[in-house]
Amino acid sequence: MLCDQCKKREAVVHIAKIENGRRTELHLCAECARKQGSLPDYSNFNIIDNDFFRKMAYPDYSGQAEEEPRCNSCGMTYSEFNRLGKFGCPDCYEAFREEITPLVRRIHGHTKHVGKVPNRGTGVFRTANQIKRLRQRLKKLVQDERYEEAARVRDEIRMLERQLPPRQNGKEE
Amino acid sequence: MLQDILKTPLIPWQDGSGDLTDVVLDSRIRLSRNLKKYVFPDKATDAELAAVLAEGERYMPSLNTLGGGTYESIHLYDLTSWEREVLAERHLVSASHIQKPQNRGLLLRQDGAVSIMINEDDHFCIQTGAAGLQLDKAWEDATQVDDALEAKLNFAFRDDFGYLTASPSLTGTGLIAGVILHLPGLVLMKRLNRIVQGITKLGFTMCGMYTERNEYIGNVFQVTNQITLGVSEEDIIGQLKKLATQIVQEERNCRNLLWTHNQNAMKDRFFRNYGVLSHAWMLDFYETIDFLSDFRMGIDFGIIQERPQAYHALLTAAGPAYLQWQAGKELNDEEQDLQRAKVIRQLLQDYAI
Repeated sequence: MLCDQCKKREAVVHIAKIENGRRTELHLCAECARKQGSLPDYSNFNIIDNDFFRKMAYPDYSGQAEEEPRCNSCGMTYSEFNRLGKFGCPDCYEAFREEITPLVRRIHGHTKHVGKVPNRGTGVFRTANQIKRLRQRLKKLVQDERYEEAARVRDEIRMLERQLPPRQNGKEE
Repeated sequence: MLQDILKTPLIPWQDGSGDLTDVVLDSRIRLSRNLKKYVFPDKATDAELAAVLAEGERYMPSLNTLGGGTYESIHLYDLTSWEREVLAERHLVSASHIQKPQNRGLLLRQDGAVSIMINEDDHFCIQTGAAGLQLDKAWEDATQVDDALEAKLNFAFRDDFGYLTASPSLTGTGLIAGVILHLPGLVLMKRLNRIVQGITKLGFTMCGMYTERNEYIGNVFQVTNQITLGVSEEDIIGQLKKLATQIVQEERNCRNLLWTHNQNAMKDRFFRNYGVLSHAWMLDFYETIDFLSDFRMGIDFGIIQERPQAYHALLTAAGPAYLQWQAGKELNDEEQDLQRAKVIRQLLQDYAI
């Protein structure tokens, strides 16, 4: 069969389209198909390159090395993290925060820590956590119509909130 | 102290206490913590690793005051390769921890119930164990050690991602809680798959402790949580406790069914395998692990007159690293099988009622 367009070369690309319920067929030679954009240009395309598996696992990976986020503390790049599955240092969490949030959500189904917090330092984490717990209890007490206890918990929360620096008042987003 | 723990086939905390001991062999907690100012072990230089190790050792004395027992600091590099292998075989360190022993450390409590790996995947991994279903006790030990270390060391923590770990799969609480279960009934009745599916839906995972050619042997399984972020420690442990209790119930049902329908066949099986264990001249490792499952079930049914702890002791004694460390030399397969049979015959006498 000859190419529908140039009518010279043998047709090797066969395109069947169904549009509005009508089927049309087009038979093209490789050259005409490439011109028309129906055949990708394979000349510098290597399907199993080094990024093949990474692209499979992370389809949105763009591979732009120069614009890649990098951790300033340990020098790890995001693609290096992708390859190893491990961070280089605690600061990587801040450096790659945007990139890893969806990943973390996929692993854990959550992106916000609840539970034990360190005791030391300013106590900000601990107090914020305590407030969060008290708020949950308050909500439950109100639901159960135990208003007297609820009022006590509310006062406790107010007292704790006063201990926190103004910007970290433990409010949930 | 380390030598005592290496030598005894039963670590002191494996004392048969705890709940649901007919199915739950033991409870374990792993808590991962990292220091703020240091890169994670995989990326660290020797000097950085040595610094982290020194930080851990510096504060070991404060662990001794917790009342659980005294600690010993062990540099893995100073041990012989057999000693390291035995530590890994007995789950006091992980297999990956002994791969590169340089600047890797272990803080070991004298009863073996607490072992803190230094410079494994994370700077510190606090591991605790307790017999039977005693997750609360294991957690109590772990969190106490965590508090004591945290009072001196600055752990990497963020409000959103919790305790920061080298792998994003542990961040949050950094807690992996596990129970080790002996489930011959569910395996024989082919009901394990259904259980595994249920567990997975709840964010937990089950894996076999002993595998040979992609098959689980010995009917010993570990159930652990997979989710560490967005769930509190109490919830993780509470859920696992509930899950373990349900599995125990299913396992008991299966065992009862097997017993009511095949009493003679079961008895025959227990006695035959017991006979092999106690009289064989050579015992292969995997074969031993398999026989031990029947040995334990026979004890649980009251057919075999042995102590349940003898099962734990034999599991340890059958291990290739343990045997070779004890012999003080490398043993080929035949020598190992001979040695294993000999040690098991001896232990059965030692633990005889």
